[in-house]
Amino acid sequence: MSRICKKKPAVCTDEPLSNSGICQKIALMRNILSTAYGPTGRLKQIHNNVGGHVLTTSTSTALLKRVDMSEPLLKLISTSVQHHTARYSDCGLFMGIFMLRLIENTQKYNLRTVAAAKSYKRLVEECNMYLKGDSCGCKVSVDFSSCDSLVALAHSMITSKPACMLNSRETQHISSLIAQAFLYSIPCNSPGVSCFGSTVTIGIEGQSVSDSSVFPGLLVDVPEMLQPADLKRLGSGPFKVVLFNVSLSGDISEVGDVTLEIHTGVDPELDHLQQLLKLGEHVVKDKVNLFACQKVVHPVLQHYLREHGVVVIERLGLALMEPFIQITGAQAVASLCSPVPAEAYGLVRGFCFHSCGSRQLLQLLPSKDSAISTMILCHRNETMLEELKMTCQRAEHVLRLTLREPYALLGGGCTETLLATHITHMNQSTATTTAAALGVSHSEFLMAVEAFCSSLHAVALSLEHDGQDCLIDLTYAHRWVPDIYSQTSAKQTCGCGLVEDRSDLEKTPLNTACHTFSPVFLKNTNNQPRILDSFSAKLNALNVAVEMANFVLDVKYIIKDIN
Amino acid sequence: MPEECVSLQASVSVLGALERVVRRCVGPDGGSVLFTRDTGETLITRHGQRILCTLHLEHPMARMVLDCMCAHAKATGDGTKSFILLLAALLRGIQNSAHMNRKGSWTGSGLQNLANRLLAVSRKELDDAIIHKITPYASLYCSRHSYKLKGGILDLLIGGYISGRVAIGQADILKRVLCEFYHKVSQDQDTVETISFIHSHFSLLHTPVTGLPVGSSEVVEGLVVTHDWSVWTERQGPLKALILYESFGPSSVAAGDNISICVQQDWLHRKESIMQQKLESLLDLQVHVVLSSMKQPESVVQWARLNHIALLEFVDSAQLDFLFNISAAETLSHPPLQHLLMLKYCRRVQLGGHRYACLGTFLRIHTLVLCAPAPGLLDQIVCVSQGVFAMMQHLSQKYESFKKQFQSSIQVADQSQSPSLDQSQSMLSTQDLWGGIMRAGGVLPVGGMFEFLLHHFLLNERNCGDPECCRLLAEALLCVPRTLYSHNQRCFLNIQTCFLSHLKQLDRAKLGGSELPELKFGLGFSESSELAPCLESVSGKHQLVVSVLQCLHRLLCVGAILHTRSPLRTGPQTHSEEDEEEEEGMQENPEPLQEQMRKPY
Repeated sequence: MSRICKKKPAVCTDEPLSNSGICQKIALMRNILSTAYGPTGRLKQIHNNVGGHVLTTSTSTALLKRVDMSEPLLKLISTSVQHHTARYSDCGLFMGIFMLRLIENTQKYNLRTVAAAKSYKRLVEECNMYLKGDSCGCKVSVDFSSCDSLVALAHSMITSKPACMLNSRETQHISSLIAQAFLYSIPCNSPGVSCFGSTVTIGIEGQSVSDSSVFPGLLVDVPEMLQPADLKRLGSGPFKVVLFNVSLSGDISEVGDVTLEIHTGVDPELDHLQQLLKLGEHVVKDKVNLFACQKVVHPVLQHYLREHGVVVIERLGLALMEPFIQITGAQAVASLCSPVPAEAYGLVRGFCFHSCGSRQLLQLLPSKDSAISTMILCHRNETMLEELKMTCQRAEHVLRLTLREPYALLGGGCTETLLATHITHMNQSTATTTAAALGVSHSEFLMAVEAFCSSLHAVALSLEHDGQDCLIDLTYAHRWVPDIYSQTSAKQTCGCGLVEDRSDLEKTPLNTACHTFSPVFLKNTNNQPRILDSFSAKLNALNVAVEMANFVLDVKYIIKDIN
Repeated sequence: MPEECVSLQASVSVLGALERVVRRCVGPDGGSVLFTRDTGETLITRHGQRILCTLHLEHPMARMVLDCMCAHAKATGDGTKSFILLLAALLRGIQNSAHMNRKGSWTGSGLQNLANRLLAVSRKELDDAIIHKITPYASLYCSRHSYKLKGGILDLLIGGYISGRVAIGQADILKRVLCEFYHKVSQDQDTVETISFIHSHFSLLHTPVTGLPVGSSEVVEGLVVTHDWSVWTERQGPLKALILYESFGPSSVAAGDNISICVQQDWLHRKESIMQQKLESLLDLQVHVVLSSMKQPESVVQWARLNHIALLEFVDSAQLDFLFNISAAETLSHPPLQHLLMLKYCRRVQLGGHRYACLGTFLRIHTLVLCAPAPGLLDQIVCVSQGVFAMMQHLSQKYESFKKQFQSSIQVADQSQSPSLDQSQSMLSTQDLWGGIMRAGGVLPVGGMFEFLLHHFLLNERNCGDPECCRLLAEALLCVPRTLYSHNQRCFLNIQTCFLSHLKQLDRAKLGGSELPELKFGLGFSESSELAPCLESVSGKHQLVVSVLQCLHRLLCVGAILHTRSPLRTGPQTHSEEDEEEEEGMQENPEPLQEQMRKPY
């Protein structure tokens, strides 16, 4: 029986940002994000009150995916951060903190929405111009002739995820592995249109992190009943490969849920099996050495093939199909009855056994130049392994982004301080004309600049969680943390490691009033920046953050449908 | 009859509540509304119609107003917020006039009478004012400012439409992309057909992408399908494509049916050979590309790979129909539901982290790629973009009908040998649609110019049949610009005084036959007059006033609201509350909409 339910009128909230409850929630979210930021960020543990899985993380993706926001505005912010990280894999927390700070600062200065939106848009355009320009002080170009900057990029990615629980030696090991995997995935010597390879990640629990490694080619679990002796008998490669993507289990399940009417004297299962064996004969006749299937292979067929010295790999899974096709050059066969066409066969150069902890793995060596590699990641327990796996995948993605825009930004909060100083300085003299061109008042524009820059500073400040002061030097505008525990006599450097401390370098605490200056462009330094951030990711995060902040400020009315 | 007076009071309070919601979103300085559902959907909008539709209005009066508004929006695609503002202002004006006349309140028949008179005004005085005063003014304005408008009237029109609907930062980017899209699709053939084509197929001609700033929106040549090729082979030149609506696999997929399959000897071979036959017949067609709306079995994928045929699955069937309709497709006779057509090229495009297929047709179809950081915002942008074309369609259709009328009147005039029509004839002979609209006075700058003009002309109409109604309407009209400049009341007054003095100068110049003064009434929103003003259509505004007066007529004619338990029979007269056979008593004082109301069934 259908019932017509009366629809309830929607619940409306007028001027949501002047509502103290909503402001508190925004501040709470900002607090959660900013305490998780950076290498010393505090971990967040997420579990629900009825038990179940407990997650320990400090990354924005994992955090925001599992925390449900009750407030529609926050939900919107959260989705936008998640959409950003899905594309760029980095700078999610930066985006969240900056966006929320910008919203809060606009409220604090009591800026008119339209004036704020126009000014912020203008300022972010200036940022884009500065960051993309040649005279940008916070950009270094990625040098592909040495892997230093690649390793530095990966290194900063990993150190900023404290939930991976790595010590410095392990961090170094993992970051070089990431750089290695990235280099494997770039095709070389292939004429014509080449396409990127991929890295298959296998996680192994309970082993030490230093056991992690990268192999060219594909690693799969060793099939049952395959002995090293069997491989020896095969001799040396290359070996012929056939790959199926239909089930060879002998079931007739693909017709779906229908009644079967079977004639007497007909045994469909037997028929099917016979067909499979015929296929096996055909394959053996074609001198195939490796028989792979995405799905299940009938045990009788497996037995038959093994007897004839064919290595059988079943249940490959959809995820491994594409890498498998790439390294072997085989084409997936879908038909059981017709003979396998000659061009569908592929080749592998050889097999190799590896054992890592409890897992026995079989390495398939690519016959030709293919950009597939397998990364084995080991960690002590499941939670850390999960975080490490995710971090490595994202770090590799970030490295790949450098191919499109071969730059990296200084990490350690230096980009933020530099950018803020540059923006303040730029708009010092031209404020009147800019304000007139935008159609906002002079004071409104100055306040918007102030709000924008202090939001950038706030991001740099969020890197510090131990109650230490953050300083900014008045020459290069880099970020400094006074190292009071330092026992060594080594020269102290700034957040990113580009500038060395000198006695005449004047510094002042961040977010305090100081005269504006143009940051000096650092030339002829022997120092390499230690910490680098992804250029593309940060640029997009900055733009999207400003856009979203404008959107949120623009919302004057919330209508909640409670039906 | 005291109940009838309550009805006016009720309408005023209902409209007041609606106005309060809408007011916040008027104009470029307004804000937007965030709409959420418990299912997690969020929607951001400034679109008057969408805001009010999402409110789930309970009050019958409010719903009637909403119905009228939707009908208006469907026709013009514009002016829903002004609709509510104007209606509320008119009702308030009527209420105040009763107080002013010391009558205390209107009687029911008095109200009906007034409603009829107002409707009459909309037929006569309004038409007069618009055709004889505003249109010539607009035409004069545009000819004076043509040097400023050379960036294209289209940009300004789109700009005027968009600026009130998206946040300030997105407006210029969206305007640029939409103009580019329009120019690329229309290929400089500005006809009503082109615009209606874009408007009606908009859902197929755009692709939404999330996670990128709005600035990344672009126009891509070809038709983008939001799936990647299942089998991709690079090929040059014109390609023969096959459209499939069915899967090649066994066709026993009708779920829920009791089908029994009879398994016979050799069934496996037969199944395969049937498939082989089907595929071989495909090969005979010598196609290079297969587009399918369904998932195809693995063997088809393998077949395509072996024969170097590009295969695209899961194509939206509406998109396939569209492709079929726009290209000279040939329908195969033997296997049903298969079409053959020629494609110019096939490509892969990378949009926001996804790889999509792109089909080039000979008709030079382009796809509008719209980006936004989050899905709710994307929705707003898509909706606005669609609205732009609805507005353009209305404008161009009005112009075409105006042109036809004019041409027939010229034919009549030719017989009486009127020399003064030469100029207008040359005006209409031009093929340039947008220039024609401009010269015919079809557009005016945004920012309340239309309302100021109409206010002025209605008040100063000499031979006006009904001065009281004209005054009511004229006063109410001013509420729109007043809301537009609500953040700065002084600005509103400045603009009004400045505008009135200009009009006076103009009148004097006309009378004296002297040189016309410079029309520098450039209403920009940002008081900086060097920016070219955005434009809006006069006919849309005209339609708005007419629709409001019709809606008002309907509102004022309602005598009583009856609440019935039985469902209303929706015959031809849906809104005939008075015709209900069973009286259940009068509805008590209707309260503002946020409170619970009983719903009439």
